[in-house]
Amino acid sequence: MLPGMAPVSNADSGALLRAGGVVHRYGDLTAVDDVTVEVQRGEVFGLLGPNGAGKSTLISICSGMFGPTAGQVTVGDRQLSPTSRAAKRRIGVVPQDIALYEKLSGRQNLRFFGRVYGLGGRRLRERVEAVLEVVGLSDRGDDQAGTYSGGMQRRLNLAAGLLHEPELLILDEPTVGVDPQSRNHIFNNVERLNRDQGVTIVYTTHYMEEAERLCDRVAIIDHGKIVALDTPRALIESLGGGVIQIGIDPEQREQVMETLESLASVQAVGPGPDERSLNIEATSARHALVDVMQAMNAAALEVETVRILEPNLESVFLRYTGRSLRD
Amino acid sequence: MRVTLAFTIKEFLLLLRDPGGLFVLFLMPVMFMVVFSLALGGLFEEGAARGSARALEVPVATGGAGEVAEQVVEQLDATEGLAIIRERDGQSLTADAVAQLVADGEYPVGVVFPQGLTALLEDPRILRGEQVQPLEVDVIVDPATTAQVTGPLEGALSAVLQQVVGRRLGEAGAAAWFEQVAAGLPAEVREQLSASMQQDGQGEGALPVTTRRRVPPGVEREQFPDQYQQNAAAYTVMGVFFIATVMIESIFRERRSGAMRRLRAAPVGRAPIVISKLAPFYVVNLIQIVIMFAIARLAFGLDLGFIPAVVVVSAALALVATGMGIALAGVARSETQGTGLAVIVVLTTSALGGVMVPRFIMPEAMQQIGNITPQAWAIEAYQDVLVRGQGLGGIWLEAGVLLIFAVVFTAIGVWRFRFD
Ligand SMILES: Nc1ncnc2c1ncn2[C@@H]1O[C@H](COP(=O)(O)OP(=O)(O)OP(=O)(O)O)[C@@H](O)[C@H]1O
Ligand SMILES: [Mg+2]
Repeated sequence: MLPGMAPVSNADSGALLRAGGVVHRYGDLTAVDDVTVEVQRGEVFGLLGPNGAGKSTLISICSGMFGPTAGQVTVGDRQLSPTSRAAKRRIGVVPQDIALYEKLSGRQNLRFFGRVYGLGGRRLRERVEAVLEVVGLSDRGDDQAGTYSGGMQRRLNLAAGLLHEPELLILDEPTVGVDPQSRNHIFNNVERLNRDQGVTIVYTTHYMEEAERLCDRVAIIDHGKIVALDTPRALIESLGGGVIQIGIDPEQREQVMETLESLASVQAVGPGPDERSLNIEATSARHALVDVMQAMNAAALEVETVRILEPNLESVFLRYTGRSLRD
Repeated sequence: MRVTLAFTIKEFLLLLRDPGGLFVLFLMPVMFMVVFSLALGGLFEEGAARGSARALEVPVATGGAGEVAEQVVEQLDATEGLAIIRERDGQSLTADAVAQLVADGEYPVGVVFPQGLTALLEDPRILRGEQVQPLEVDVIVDPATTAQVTGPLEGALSAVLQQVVGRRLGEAGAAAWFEQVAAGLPAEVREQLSASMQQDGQGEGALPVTTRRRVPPGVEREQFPDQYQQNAAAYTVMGVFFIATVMIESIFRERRSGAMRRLRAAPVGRAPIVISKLAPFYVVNLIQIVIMFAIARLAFGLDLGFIPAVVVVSAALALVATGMGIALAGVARSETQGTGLAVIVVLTTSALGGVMVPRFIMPEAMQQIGNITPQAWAIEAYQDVLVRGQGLGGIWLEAGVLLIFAVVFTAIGVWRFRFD
């Protein structure tokens, strides 16, 4: 079991979405590599990962866009597949790219997607107006979606996923590349949907503060694998007093580990995200740094890079992936 | 059902957002119809006369018409651009056989010489210059043929008749006159006179032989279309097939659009999406056909014949066109490849199917190949109604074949239809 990973419960008491042993390959590339994860009813589940980690692929499989190469996904007690309409009806999807017809107006888009999800008549009209209201686009509803600003398109994109009042809302980076105003708007909408209507939410993001503020639990995914999964607080606490990540010459690896493990201010030395780096855990990263540098100098060992990981989600991310969340 | 309707409405809205594309679809066949009718009318005739086109094959019946007919046929056969066919399966053609060949659409025009032509020319009354009931050489014309095709034949036939009959009458008349008038002249003078008469021995005035245009028995309408009316059917047929380019664009655009991603997560099957990629374009096709025939009717006076038959043919034709569109979209790897392929396929099959050049002037092998194009069957069906004045009974075969094309194409398209 990975550090900080919550045990996967066997009872399906609260699990709304469950992925079991999901693998997805594009040709030779394994984009999702044996992921098993459960999303509890009513929680906001965050998915963090660098570019190309496999977030969108995993999330697409979990929304029934295509089937996995191996493994399976269930929603409630129903297996999800591209042809399982009953399961799909319970899910609302907000894809990473704008999933709209640019040539149609906002309202026409919403009416279309509403009908696709089985709405009609008065209820359709009401829902269209309601979601337009929610995302603040009521007065632009009759303009072509293609003429909207990027932020407005993102908001309409969100609105289309809300039309049929899904139990589970899956959002793939809904706020990426958006002005602060629209970003706030979207963010508040999602928060309110969860808090007031109990909608279960799966949310991928690059923005650490969003994940910290919004998510009950966060999974960090890299190279198609979940490398950490817990509440943001537990993940941060796992850093203890902080972590120093150093870049080294891989040939000197054994020597470096021996040298550093003997230091009093260092609690543990473990592998970093790749073979050129090590994670050094300390009660206080700042104090330990001086000792580490001195010891390395004395032993004539090379230090290529040094990073201090403050106890926050960003550091958790760096610790597991060696990469910064932001591009 | 509701979902299918939603997709279809959406598709219509998208189509209406891009009226330019549709305008081309409506304008193009009209332009073709008008421009080709005007520009190629004369050229075509000349081409045939010069023999640059393949020789026009003309079945001819000479049974019992005698030596004069043989001479006429020989000269016609020697005329550039004409090839006379006198037998089939080793049998000389009879008058009925020639009429039947034309009625069947195997040849656009045939010639039947009257019985006793040679004997008539020896009638003493004619030699005396008296009027007799003239004999008629029948030119049997498929009403679906244009004057561009029959013109050269009719011209050549008149000229050759004039020459052969005229000379023969001149000779015979002179001989009779000689007997009466010149009996008393010296032999020397008689010979001189005779020689000079033979040199310009052309008969003058009305010949006792005329040509008469007829439609084959069993074909009802005695109406000969001009090239506008002719081309209306042909370019309507070609025009509808260009719907394929618009369909391919729509299908690939949908595939590329982000909206497709949301649709893949939506609780919909393939059917509504596939239907929405067929139904609106089917309607566009029907509108296209209405516009074409309306213009042909109002501007060129096309008689539409039995309207329900036109409707049946048009309904079947539009099914084939949208079927071809979805099949091509299924085969193509990219939008550019798809539209390119569509243009090539549509132009090639239209040419083979007899849109630009009537099929009966094509070599036999080409005509056979043309039979595997839906255009050939559609044009044939339209001509049955518009030109030959047939009703539903006349078009059921063609309509049936069109439906088979439609089913096969649509099946390929639906089988190959991809969302991503
Ligand atoms: N349709 C595809 N065909 C081939 N490879 C693909 C396809 N989609 C994604 N990939 C590859 O799979 C891997 C995971 O991609 P994915 O889009 O799931 O990552 P992501 O975590 O969503 O990245 P980002 O943060 O950039 O959105 C990447 O290496 C990507 O290049
Ligand atoms: Mg992604």
